[in-house]
Amino acid sequence: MLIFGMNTVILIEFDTMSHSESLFDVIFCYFPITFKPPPDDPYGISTDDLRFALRQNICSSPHFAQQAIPLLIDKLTATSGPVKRDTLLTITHALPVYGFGHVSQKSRSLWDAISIEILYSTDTHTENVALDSLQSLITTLYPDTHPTELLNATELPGIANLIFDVCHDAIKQPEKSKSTPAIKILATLIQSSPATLARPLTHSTLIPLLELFAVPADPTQPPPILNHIHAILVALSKVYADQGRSFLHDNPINPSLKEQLNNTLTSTINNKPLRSPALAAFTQTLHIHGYWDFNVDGVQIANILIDFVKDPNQDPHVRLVAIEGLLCLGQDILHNIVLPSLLTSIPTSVDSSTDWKPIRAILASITALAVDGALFEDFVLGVEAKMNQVSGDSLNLAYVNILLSTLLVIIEEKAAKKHQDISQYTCSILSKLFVFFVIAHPGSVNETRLVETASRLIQAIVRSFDVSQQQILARHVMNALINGYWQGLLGTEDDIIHQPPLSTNSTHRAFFPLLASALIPIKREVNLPLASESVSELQSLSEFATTLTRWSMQSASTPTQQIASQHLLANLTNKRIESLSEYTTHLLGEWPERTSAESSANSIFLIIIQWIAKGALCRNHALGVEFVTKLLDLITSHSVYADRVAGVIGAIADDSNDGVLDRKRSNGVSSLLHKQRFFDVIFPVVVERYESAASRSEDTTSAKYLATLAHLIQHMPKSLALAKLPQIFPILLIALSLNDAALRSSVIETITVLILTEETIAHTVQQHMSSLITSLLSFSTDSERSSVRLRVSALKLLGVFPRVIRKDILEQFKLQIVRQLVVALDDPIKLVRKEAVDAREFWLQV
Amino acid sequence: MDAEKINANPIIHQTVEESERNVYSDSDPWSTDFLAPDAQVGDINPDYANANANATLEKTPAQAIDADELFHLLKDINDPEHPLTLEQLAVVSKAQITVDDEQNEATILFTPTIPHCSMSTLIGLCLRVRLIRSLPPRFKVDVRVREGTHMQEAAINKQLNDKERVAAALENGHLIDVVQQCLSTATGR
Repeated sequence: MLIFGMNTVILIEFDTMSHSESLFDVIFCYFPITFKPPPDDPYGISTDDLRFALRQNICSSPHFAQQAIPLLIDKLTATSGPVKRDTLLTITHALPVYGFGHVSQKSRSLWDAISIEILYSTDTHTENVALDSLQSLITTLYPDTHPTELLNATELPGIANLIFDVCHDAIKQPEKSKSTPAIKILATLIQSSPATLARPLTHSTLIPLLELFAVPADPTQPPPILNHIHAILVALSKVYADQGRSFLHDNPINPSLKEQLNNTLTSTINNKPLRSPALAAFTQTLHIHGYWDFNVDGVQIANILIDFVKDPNQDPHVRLVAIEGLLCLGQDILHNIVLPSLLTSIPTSVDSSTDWKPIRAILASITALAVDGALFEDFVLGVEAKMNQVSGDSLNLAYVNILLSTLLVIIEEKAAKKHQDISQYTCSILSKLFVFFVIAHPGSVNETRLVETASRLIQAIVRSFDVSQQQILARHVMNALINGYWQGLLGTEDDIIHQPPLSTNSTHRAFFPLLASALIPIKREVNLPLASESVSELQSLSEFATTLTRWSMQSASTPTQQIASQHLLANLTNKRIESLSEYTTHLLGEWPERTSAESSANSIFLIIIQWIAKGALCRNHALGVEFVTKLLDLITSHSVYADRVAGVIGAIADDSNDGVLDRKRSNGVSSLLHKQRFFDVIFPVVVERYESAASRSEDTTSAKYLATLAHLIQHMPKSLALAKLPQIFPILLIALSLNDAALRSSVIETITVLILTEETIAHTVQQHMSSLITSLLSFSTDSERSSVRLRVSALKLLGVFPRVIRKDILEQFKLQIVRQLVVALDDPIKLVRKEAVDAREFWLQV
Repeated sequence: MDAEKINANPIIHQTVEESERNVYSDSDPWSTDFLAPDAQVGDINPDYANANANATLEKTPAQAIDADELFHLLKDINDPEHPLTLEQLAVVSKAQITVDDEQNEATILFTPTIPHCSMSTLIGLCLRVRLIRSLPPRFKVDVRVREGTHMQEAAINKQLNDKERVAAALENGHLIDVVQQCLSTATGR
């Protein structure tokens, strides 16, 4: 390594002309590198490091050229696999350094050697590297100078002429397998030297293809011809995608070819079987900057493409390409023509005779088209207008639901692209949304599916607000929630007062989920105004939380309302636990009573605790561990809820939290490594309890601890699980004996993930191989008793073994597995059969 | 390189991806599946989506083995000569597979790329091995060259459906290696 490094410096810094021969001898004797690092190599030098260093040497002096090029060509034909790719890469890097003079002398033999890798390619990886080498060769030989006037590629000077000849022969039969690499070569040439080669090659390739397309010699020809035209246009569009290179200056397509091309493509687009490849090629012309003048043709093109976008029976691929094409037309045409046309095509309201297919197709297209700035505003206004006009029956609510879902998808897309203008355009729709639910269609709030969508939309919008906007909103929301004063939220002048949703037996409790979702993304620094304008007796956040907890335990609360309150409470605990000390004391005080008898209110209480613990854990607050310990005590004290403990603790350890504790999605507090700390504390405790219960042979108790462990392990951070593997693996195996299909499948999935991420586990697995395989086989072949999920996961794990376990161990089991899996081949479910075929095939290959 | 191959420049056929269920024609007006071709909506709430998927999975009724499933088993087998699959070369196609799950019968017709292709027996053997390995043993499998597409049609058919000869072929170490090579692309996509 060191010497290679030094060589590079010597070769670059000094004039080595006189010593080039001896330097060549000392450097090139290492090429190609076939070194394999020994296991436990203390220096950590990889084969690729050496290859890279040597490549630097070879490419650092032009004086090597004369001797190096024949040597490289020789090695290229003699080697295979990674060494061949190394040689090709070296050629790619060396040719520009060696320069025009030397390279042009050897161009013929270089092309011969490289072309074999492309024309008779065996794997795409090598083929792509070879195309890079070709690009390097052409760039060296045809420096990008003045654009040429040449139209006929057979008049080209030098090697390009020869290359074209070979390719031209191949594309005479465009449906045959050789034509594809030939087109790839031509496309590479065009990209390598657009000024000198693009014009003659494009003409000499496209004209015969278009002629053949007009009068095909064989019915299988038209689709591949279109694909080839597409490939050439892709090459051109890569070169001329932006203003960096001028299409008009190089002029690779003259007016007559352009006309011929446009006529062929636009007429073929209307021919259904050929539409997909023709449209793909056409869209590439839109990508070429300067090919079209959108001020003149834009509207016409837009109208052609819009029809495809609107048609629900169109092949999904065609629709995507049409959208891609529309996006090339620029903001103005989208804003003036495309979006208005799409928006008017969706109805203002629906009835039982409405055909939903075009509506869905158009909305799906809009999610791709209306993402940027003013276009997004257009759509938001469109949705508002529709919401004003619909009636409140179930069908129309479903219609509003898909409109809002579409909006949500676009907002998520904008957030992913880090657009800053979401709040600017969505402010208005927030109040429109509440007007819709509170005033226009009060019944709609009982439609849980719509409320769920609206809640997610509200969260997404409030998330994009800044602190001052959130502050105003928080005041309005609290006012509606606690006092029943809606006018702030609805943005009206008149007083609108209803029963506060949060009061006992309120007629408006169904509004709670909508209001809660507006509070969840509120940032910590925003003050939640409780006492300021309040007429109610709620004086502190603790009181608010306590009221909310009681409220959601009432028998009138629906599942949607319960979930919303659990989310809000977890979120509040997570962000504002400092001001909730009275509330947590209250919860701990209620604990003994709430867990002593089974009732629906007490079950709700338990789930609330689960969420509070999650919220506390995320920020490393001791409350989380305290609750988990209390839950474990339920097992020891044989509480009525002892059976639920494992599931609840598993849910607490689970990362998923519906986004309500997430830093990005709801501005939650999440400290680093909080999960590791939790497991460090809790896991040993549970193991200890399990072991002591097992040693006292208290079977039911130890089984509950075991289930808890199995649930915990599923959610263990991977690094920790790997470190503790010798300890947890036996536990996982015993957990497989628990009679709980869902738990079994998750345990198996956990083992699969662990094995695939860390191969050193294989060693531990090997020790338990025989019992593991027996249980897996019995799960996967018993279609009567094991669930589909269990069968699939067991078969997947069986299929993984041949990849990670030592061969001699595999062979002991091969026969048993191959024989028994025959049963799974005849499983009633297709998915299981597929996994069985794969698993069995992997074992057969052992 | 050309000289070694029996058909050096075969026609490549477009492989058609299964046309999935049209997402727009859902009969439930509340369905928003159409918005999530890449599962964007599912991403927002993956647990919910997962739980749903699991629930539907458990309720799936028994599905009989059909031509579609067999075609999926066979389509990704590599041609012995080219790095192309049998589907791309149109050697096997869905229309030429018939399956009767109740009668335990399956018939596969295949089309050699050219009528004098000496690889036909090998391709047939690959198909047969794949099916022996992945179909339940209750099936009687018939692998044949499609009528009129090969000069030695009868000879090949006889060879392929003779249990003894297939078994003998599979004893041949070299032959099984070649078959294994062709089958390696069929699994673990």
